[in-house]
Amino acid sequence: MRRALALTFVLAAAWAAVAAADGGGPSPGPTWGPPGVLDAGSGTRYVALVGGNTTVVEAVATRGGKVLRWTSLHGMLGFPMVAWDGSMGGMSRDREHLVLASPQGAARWTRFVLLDAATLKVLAHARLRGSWAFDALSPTGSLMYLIQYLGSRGSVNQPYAVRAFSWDTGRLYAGAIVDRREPDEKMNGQPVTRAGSPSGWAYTLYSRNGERPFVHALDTTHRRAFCVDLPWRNSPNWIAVVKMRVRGGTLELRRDRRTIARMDRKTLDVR
Amino acid sequence: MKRALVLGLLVAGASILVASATGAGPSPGIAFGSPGVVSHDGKFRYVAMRAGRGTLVEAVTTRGGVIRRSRFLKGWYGVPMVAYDGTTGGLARNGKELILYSPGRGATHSKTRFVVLDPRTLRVRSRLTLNGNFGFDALSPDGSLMYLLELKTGPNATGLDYAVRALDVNTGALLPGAIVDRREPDEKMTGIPLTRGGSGDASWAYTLYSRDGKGPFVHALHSTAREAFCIDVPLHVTGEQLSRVRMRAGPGKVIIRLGRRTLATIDTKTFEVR
Repeated sequence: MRRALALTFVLAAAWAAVAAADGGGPSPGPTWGPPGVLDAGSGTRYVALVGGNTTVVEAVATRGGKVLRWTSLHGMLGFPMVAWDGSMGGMSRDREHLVLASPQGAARWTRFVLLDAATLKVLAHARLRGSWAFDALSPTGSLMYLIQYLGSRGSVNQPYAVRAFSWDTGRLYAGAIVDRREPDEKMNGQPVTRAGSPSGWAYTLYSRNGERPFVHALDTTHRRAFCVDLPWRNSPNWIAVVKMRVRGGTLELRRDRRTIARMDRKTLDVR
Repeated sequence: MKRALVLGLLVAGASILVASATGAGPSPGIAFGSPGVVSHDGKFRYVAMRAGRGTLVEAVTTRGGVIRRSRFLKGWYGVPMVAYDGTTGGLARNGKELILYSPGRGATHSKTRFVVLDPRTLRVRSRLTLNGNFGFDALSPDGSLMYLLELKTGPNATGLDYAVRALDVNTGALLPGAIVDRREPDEKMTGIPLTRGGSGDASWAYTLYSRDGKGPFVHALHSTAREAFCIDVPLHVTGEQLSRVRMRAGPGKVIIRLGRRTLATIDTKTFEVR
């Protein structure tokens, strides 16, 4: 309980810090330094660090700490954090691509850079007008999902839209990715934690002030999403310590190592 | 012979990112990226990375590869290399000092710049600038004395001649005179450092040098007592093989090996070669 409370405070503080820095919104935004993005399969940790007006991106061996390769990029770019528990994004499931983002709200434009993970060579740049944040990548990295901030600059908990961007064409797809069952539902909330499936689903637990928490289930291959309300009336404080994991056809929500809810990944029923 | 050896060394060290302003001379220069230099307890690897016009210095955990600390320095400073086999230096044995430096550029009016960092915080403790071309050689175990190779320049310079100098890190002043083997004070210091081994307490640095026209020798530097000894070591190997020779200091002896074959053993008390 004490740990949960402490974490809640930490999350609240971080939340406030980011809200002050970027105008508030559903994405924690890019990060620099540890932990970076971990490719456990190859034992490589990808980290971005800023020095002067340059970002150094490094591939570091988890055994021995050797810098395997590195590159310098102009400007300030970081690996995206996608939930407040520290879940990191920015690496495609096939481990071939990396995405770095500029801080949202810091300029009139938001920058994204696609790198080849094997060489750290820049494959493509994207520059979008307004305030955007990274959300997810498709398994091969060809599609990038973004959070488009819709509120006015500086507003906290502003509404947002999930958008899809093709790295192949360098263009955004028209329209937002919404739950077609509730197309008018306004998207808001704060991402608590994230779990992914091998087939390319990204499950994000969102908490909302005074409203039920929900799971945003994003099919990163087919550009579709579902919002699944959870059976708690409000978003309680302890929601901050909930973790999720995918087990076969089920998404499990766990608190203190106990499963507190299960979502059927096909029917989206929650038990 | 020298060209073949240098080529061999470059091929052998191709995997190491070396930025040497001095070319294949007595100082290999500095390294950016890995291997960096590893702390005595093996927990941290310190690396320097070029970042635009500056340098990012990082302390990376050897377990997990997590960057625990980093600091941005204006200008380019690398981890000192002390031999062409990729051996690096710059970290005091007591873990309280990390030296990075920027070699002098050009033959005349060049300056060599050093930064002294606290490895625990990566804060800059001091900056030192020396007139001339210097290469890093060694640090005393407590980091108070830094040994440098003062590279001889001028019209008659071969590019391989140097003098070993000691610098007081606390005052930033070069101590007068060169560190020479008192048994042969007039012996000209020349050669290319191939590999290095150090004693367990880091008070001795043993460096194997190759020389043009003469056989290789081991430079034994006592970094606390400011003493050095040059030990001729006949190895009977080709230039290419010489680039693959490695050295290890153990209790009472230094072993020089080519692969698994022991080429020579030096008694560290008598400096006799067997």
